[in-house]
Formats: sequence, C-alpha cells, structure tokens
Amino acid sequence: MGRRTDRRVGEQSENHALKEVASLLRECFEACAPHIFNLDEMRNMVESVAEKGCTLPEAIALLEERMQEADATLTTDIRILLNELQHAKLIRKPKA
Amino acid sequence: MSGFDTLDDRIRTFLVSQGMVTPTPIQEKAIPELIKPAHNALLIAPTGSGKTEAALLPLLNRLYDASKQRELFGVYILYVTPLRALNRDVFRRLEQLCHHLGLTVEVRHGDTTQYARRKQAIRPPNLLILTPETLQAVLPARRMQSHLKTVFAIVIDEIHELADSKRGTQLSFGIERLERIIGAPIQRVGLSATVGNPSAVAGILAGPKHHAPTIWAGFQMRKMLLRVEMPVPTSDDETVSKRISYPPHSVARLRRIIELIAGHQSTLVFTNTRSFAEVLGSKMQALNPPYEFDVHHGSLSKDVRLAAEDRLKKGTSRAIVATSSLELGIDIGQADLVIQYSSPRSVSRALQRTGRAGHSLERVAEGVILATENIDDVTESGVILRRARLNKVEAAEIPENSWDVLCHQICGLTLDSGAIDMERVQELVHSSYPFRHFTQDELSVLLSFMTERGLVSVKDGRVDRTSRTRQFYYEHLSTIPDVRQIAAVDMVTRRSIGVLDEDYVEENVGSGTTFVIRGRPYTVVSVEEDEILCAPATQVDTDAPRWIGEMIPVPYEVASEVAEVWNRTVSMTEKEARSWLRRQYRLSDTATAFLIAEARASHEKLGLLPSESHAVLEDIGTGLVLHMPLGTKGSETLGIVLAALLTTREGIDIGVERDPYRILLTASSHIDPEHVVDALKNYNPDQIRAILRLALKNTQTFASRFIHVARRMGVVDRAAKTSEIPVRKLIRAFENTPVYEEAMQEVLREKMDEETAIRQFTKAAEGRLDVTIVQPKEMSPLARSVVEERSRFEVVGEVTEENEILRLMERRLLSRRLRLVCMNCGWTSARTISTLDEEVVCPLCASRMIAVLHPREEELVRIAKKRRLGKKLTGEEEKKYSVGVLTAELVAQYGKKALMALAGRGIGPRTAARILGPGREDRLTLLRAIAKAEKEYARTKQFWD
Repeated sequence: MGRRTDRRVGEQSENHALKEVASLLRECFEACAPHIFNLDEMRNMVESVAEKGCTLPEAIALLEERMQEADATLTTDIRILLNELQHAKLIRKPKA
Repeated sequence: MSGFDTLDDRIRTFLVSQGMVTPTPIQEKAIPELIKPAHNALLIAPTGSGKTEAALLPLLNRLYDASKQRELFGVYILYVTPLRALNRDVFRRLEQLCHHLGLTVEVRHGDTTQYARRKQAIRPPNLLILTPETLQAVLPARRMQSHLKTVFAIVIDEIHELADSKRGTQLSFGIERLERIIGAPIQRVGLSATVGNPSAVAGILAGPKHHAPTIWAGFQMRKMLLRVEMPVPTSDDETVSKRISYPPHSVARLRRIIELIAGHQSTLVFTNTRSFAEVLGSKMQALNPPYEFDVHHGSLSKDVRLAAEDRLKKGTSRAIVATSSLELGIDIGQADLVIQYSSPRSVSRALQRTGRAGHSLERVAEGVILATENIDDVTESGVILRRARLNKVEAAEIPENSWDVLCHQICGLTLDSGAIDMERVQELVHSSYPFRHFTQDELSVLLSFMTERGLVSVKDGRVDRTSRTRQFYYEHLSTIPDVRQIAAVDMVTRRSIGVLDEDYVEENVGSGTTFVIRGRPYTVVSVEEDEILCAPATQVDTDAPRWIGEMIPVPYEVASEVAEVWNRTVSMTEKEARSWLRRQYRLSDTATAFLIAEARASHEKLGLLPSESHAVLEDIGTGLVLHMPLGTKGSETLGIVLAALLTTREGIDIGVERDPYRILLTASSHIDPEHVVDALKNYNPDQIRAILRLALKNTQTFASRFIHVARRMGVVDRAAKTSEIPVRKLIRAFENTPVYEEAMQEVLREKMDEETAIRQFTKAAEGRLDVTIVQPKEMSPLARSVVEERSRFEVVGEVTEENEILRLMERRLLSRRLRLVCMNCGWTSARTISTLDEEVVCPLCASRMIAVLHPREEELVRIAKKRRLGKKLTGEEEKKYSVGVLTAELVAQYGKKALMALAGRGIGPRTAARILGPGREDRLTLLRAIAKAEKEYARTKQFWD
C-alpha cells in the first residue's frame, strides 16, 4: 500500500512538474510576444511543445531543433523565446 | 600583482600581442573593481590614458566567461559615446579583441544602413557601440528591446560632455528605462577626462538610488608644455596685410601659425567659431604655405571631415584648422602641437584641446595660445592655462527638471511597454538624477499638457500612448537645437561641400554671393528649395558663412582671476610684474609687456582697477561703462537687470553691451551714474529675479529659445521656417505652460548667472562692494574694448572687419604730412600728424590758431604776413586767407582731430567742420565720419572743379 501510494505521489509530482513546464512555456511566449515577428507560427510551435509534456531541457532541445530548419527571422523568434526561458529558469526557485 | 592579473589568460595573451604589457594607472585601479559584478564607477583620467580599455576589459572578461558556459544571444554590453566619429575609433580597437574572444561587436548610429539594422535585429552583437540618440531609438524598438534584456553593463564615454547638456539628462532617464526593461540592476561605468563636479556627474550615471564611486588616476603623469604668445607685426607683415586685405596683427598671428606648423610634424589649430575656421583657412591659402592643410568643423559633410582626419593621420597634410569637432578623443595619430587661436574661454576647453597633442600618456602635450592684441584676451589666456595646469576645471551644469526631455521620455515609457501607472511614472522620474526633485504637481501639469496635445492619454490613473506618440517620439530623438540647414553643393562634382544655416541663407545668400567653405571661396550659382548650387570662385575678399552662435562663456572664476592679475600687475614694479607673469602665467615677452602697459594705462586713466570688492563706473560722456569682472553670464544678467531698472527710472530706452569684464550702458541722453549706484544698492534678490524674468521675456534670445523648445515639445512643426512663425503670439498663448517654463529655464541656465548678479546687488546693499564713479578725459583702454566693439575674437562673418579698416585708414591719416602755419606770428613747418600732440600750439607764440595746408603750399605764409602788416589783399588772396582761417579755427577748437579730418581725401574745412561737430568725440565715430566723407568724395569727385 505504501509503495503504491509513493508511486502515485511520484507520478502526480511528475505530472505537476510537466504541467509547470507547459505553463512556463506559455508564460514566456506571452512575455516575449511583442518582440516576435512570426506570431502564429510561434504560438503553434509553443503549443505543440507544451502538449508533448516534456521536461524543460527537452522542451529547449525541441525548440533548438526547430531552429535548424527555420529561416533567419523565425530563428531569431525562437532565440528570443529561448532567452526568455533562460531568464525565467534563473529567477524561478526549484520546488522542494 | 598587476591589474591585468585578474583577467583571463586569453585576454592577457592578446594584450601582450598588442604591446600592452603593463596597465596604465587608470587600468590598474579600475580593472580589479569593475570585474566584480554590479560595481558602478566613474573613471576620471587624462585623454589617452586607456580609459576605454579600463572599462571594457573587465566587462569583456565576464562576458567571455559566460560564453564558455552557454551560447550567447543578445546584447550584453552597451558602449555609449557622444559622437559618431568616436564610434569608429573605439570600434576598430575593440573589433580585434572581440574577434579573438569569439565575441561580436557592432556600431549603430544615425548613418547605420537599414540592412545593417535588420542584421542586428536578427543577430544582435554582444557589444553594441552607439550614440545616446540611438539608444533612445532602440529602447522601444520591437526586436532590439528584446535583445537589450540581456544587457548587464553600460559604459558612457565622455560623460562630462553629455552631463553639460540635455543629451545627458535624456541619457540618464534612458538608462532607467533600460533597467526597467531588463528587470534587474545593470552595471554603470562612466568615462571622463576632465570634470569639475564628479559627484554630480556620477549622479547622472547612477541615479540618486545607486552609488558610483569616482576612480581618479594618471594626472600627475601627463606633462604639459603650455604658453601664451602675442605676435606683433613686422614690416613684412604690414606689406602682406595690404596684399591680402587682412589687418597687420592678424597677419602676424597667421605668420606665426605657419611658422609653428612648419616646425612640427602634425598640428591642430583650434578656433572658437566655425566662421573663423573658414576665414583662417582662406587666409592661410592666400599665403600659400609650403605644405597642405585642411579645415574641419561640424557643418562640413562627413566625407570632407573624414578625408581631413585621414590626411593628417597619414601625414599627407601637416595641419587641420578645426573647431570643437576635433576636441573629443578621436585618434587622429600623434599631433605634436596644438595651437589655440585666441583665448579658449574655459579651462575644460583648454584641457580638451591641448590634450589632443601628444595623444598618449607618455608624450608631452605642447600647446600655444596665440592671444590677440587685447588685454582681456592676453590675461584670460594666461589665467586659463594656469588653471588648466592645476586641473581647476569648471563644473558641468546639469540641466535639471527639463520639461521637454521629460515630455519625450514619458512618451518613450508608454512605447516601451504599453500603459503605465502614474505612481510608477513618478517613481521612474525620481530615479533619474536630473529629475529627482520633479514634483507630483509638476508631473500633473506636464501630463495635462501632453494629453491636450494628444501625445499620451491618461485614464484611470494610467498613462498610455496614442496614435501620435510613436511619430512624436521618433521625430524628436535629438535634443540638439533644430536649426534648419541647407546643403551647399559643388555643381561641378555634385558633391556636398557643407551645410549653411537657414537664417544665413535667407539673409545673405543669393545668386552671385561669394563665401568661403573649407578654406576655399565659392560663388552661389543658384538657390534651390533644398540645396544651394555653387562653383569655385577666385575672389580674395569673401564672406565666411555664419553659423549659429558658438562662443562659450567665460566663467566667473576666470574673470575674477583676470581682474586680480591686473590689480597685482599694477601694484608691482615692471621687473617684478614681468617675472611674475612669465612664471605664473607663461606669457611671452611681448604678451607680458603689452599686458603691463595696458593695465598701467587703464589704472592711470581710472585711478583704480575693478576687483571683487570694487567696481568702477566710467562715465565716457556718450555712455557709462561699469567695470565688474563677473564672467560672460554674470555680465549678461547684471546688464539686463540694470538696463531694465534704468529704463524705468530714466523713462528712455537704455542700450546694453557687455563682455565678461564690463557692461556698457547707453541712451539717447546722458545717464546719471548715481542712478546706477542707486539701482545696485536698492533691490533685494526676489525683486531682481522678477525683474530679470520680465526683462528676458522681451529679448530675442528668449524668443529663439522658445521656438526651439516649442519644436521639441511638438507645438511647432520641426520643418517650419523660423521666419514664418509668429513668435510673439505663440509666447503669449503659451505663457503659463511647460513650453514657456522650459524656455525660460533654458535661457536662465545657459545664458544667465542669476546668483552671481544677485550677489553683486546684495554686496552693494550691504556696503561690501564699493562703486567708484570716474570721468577720465579720455576713455580707458579697458573701456575701449566694449565701446568700440573691437572684437578680439577676430571676425565673425566678415573677412574685412569695419573696425580694422578704420584702423588702417587711421594709420594712413596719421602718416600724412601737412604744412602748419601760425596765423598769429607766421611760424610755419611741415609736420607728420602722428608726431603732434592732441593740442596743437605754435612753438613760438603758443597761439592755437594754426592753419593747415598742403605741405608744398607756402602762399598762405606770405598772405598772412601781408594781412598782419595791414596791407590790402586781392580777391584771390582773400579767398585763400579765409580758407586758412577756417582751418585754424578748427585746429584751435579740436586740435589733432581737426588735422586728421583735414587729412582725409577730398575733405576741405567745411566738410571737416561737419565731421567734427557734436557727438564725434570718440575715435571710432570720428573715423567713420571721415570714411563716409571720403567715400562721398570718391563718388562725386567727377563733379568737382
């Protein structure tokens, strides 16, 4: 019973963390939206990464991957978002 | 352990490869401090002492460390410089280092192409070099604002230059906006060569909430060889003077400049005005020196200026004749001599300019001031050099509570991030040093003004942008006065040769007008809407284009010391004075001799000389000269107030002229000097302030300022021609608004010294200032400068100055030989006028009835003798006798002046009698009248017998 509870608590905690990453992605997108040129494309990109339910490093890696195929302005848009994420990562305290 | 030890190995190896093994004193002190995050500092060190590296090396070190841990994207360091030209030099030095570290650096200013800007928006450089105006442009810019969020440090170069003007006020607020955008404190570093009030300048940098300690270094290392010369004309100079239509003393200075340039590798010749830089260039061309030189100032096109700088650096040219365009730290190679033409007017200017020689710490700076033949100029030059050696620099006058700047910045705030709470606006206003005392009420008044004009909207306690905000913001990025300028184009090459002020063009330029630009004469072929087409001309006598007034004020401290020098000089023996002036003030022999002679002559005429506790009020008959050494602004203020008070009391208009050492008051009738003394003693500070403001309101100075402020605050369109603006109506309409308030504030700060003027009134009232009234028979040399408007700063606008033409004419008249005949005893002699005394008397019988004739005319001697013997004269003899008597009557009444008048071409006794009539007592008026009569004779002589 204890182990199942622990596992359930662990799963819940992990889900919570992944939801936080999704929320962070959306927040950062909103914060840097005024500076983004390809607004719709970026919004879609952020949603698709957020829905994947990945960790922050995974999300960053996915965005960096998208940069490889993007043109100059879209690359800059993604970099701006990545900068915002870095900034947010630095100021957020890790949850206990 | 050296300052470089704290730097990364990679940076140190680079420095060694560039020959930078030992840090300079400022680098030694600053690098260990600035390498620590968030440590602000104001670095003060001489020109050429490595301040740029002192600031950037530690910052680049931190950036390089960060680059090792993560990929960099964004701007991390901002480097702000006041001039676009500075950008290029700093950029070249940094480019190599940044490349070595894998960092990127770029420049951005008004000339940066659209393509380059787009590139920066996509791939922002890690270090961005820009002007204060460009920072304003990028703060609200969509992409660039995002890239600025990574900035951790800002460096402001030549901060003392910016602090002294609204550019600094604007920049100070801009830094607070930047920090708000970033959301975290940034490191602030200021670089300054010379500043009199470092704590206030540090305030501009750090704001009232942060601290920026001052780090001084390197001043004791900088050697300076400075001196004052006053060249006097030789006989060759006199010959050249006639050939090139240039006064002999000016030719003497020109000759000396050419000699000094020939004796050095590369020379900078500084003048105080652009107009005179052109005149000097033109006259130097006329003398055809054996080397090339260029003229350089801000109104010339960029290509022309760059070409001049490069030519000097490469050694193609030996000299540049320049204005303040070359003052700042542009590296144009090793200029080994700086010549300043006439007094530099302030210590900071002297230091900036002489600092351009030997442009590195170890090299000796050699500087020569060539003073004009004027006691003010000679003494002032010596005083300024002495204060420069002691580093006694003027304090920067920081414009505070500038309504126009704040109006612009509030617009910027709304563009940065949309609507903003009023409280937050107030907070930000107070976080900027120049606005730390701006009250809530004042902010409300400003916001009302702005909403009325549609610049912002205020709703529910929030300030937001409108459809007008962006356009207004970007159209008003610059705080520099907006004088419309028109390009002058060489119609043969279609290249721009310079720009002329709109008002100059309107007043003086039409097809056929000739003027000088870059030391070369051009003729106007046609004046188009937006350009003036010109072709090279060959005339020698040419008009130099006039640029807006650039004469900087002489500070009170300098004027005070000048008066002290005069007083001390007359209290010493000649030998003591010579030695003291040479030692303390580095004056040459001719300068010393001249100063002593003039000071003594003035002391003799006045009985005493002005000082801090003693003013002299000289009654010259046609006006009053108040000798009081208050500096330019102090004199200006006192003059305006006294004129206003006396106008009210006397019921007539009082005219006022002034210079840093005296005020001339004139009117259509005599002004009682006691009234001036009364005025000085009977008004309190509040009354004086009120009177000053009332008086200023009606001046042209205020009207011009009002228009500039009105343009900056969007009340008047920038493109509107000044001549088409109904200024007085506008002033009345905007009397109780921020526009009026700011215009008045600007005039008071830039042109007036209210406190110094008020201090004189207070001292007089309390008996601590004595005013002695004197009425010398002849005007003192000190008064002559302001009465005769003898501009010691050479010509502003005209190459052939009226006063110098009159002087040449005077010389000619004095050198005339005339026959003198005593109508009483018959004594006769042919004499040169210059050898005679003011009173002309017969050496035999002391009679003053001395007739004046042509030297070869001896008939009158015989006729006069015949008359004395009682014999009858023929008709012809009677005529000649009458003419003789007329001239004798004039000589009896006017003495030597009569002889001068009669020596004029075509001037007979009747014309001379008209010339010598009432109101012609002073020299200049008499000379003008003689010149006019000669011109009239020349015009009409064909009609004479």
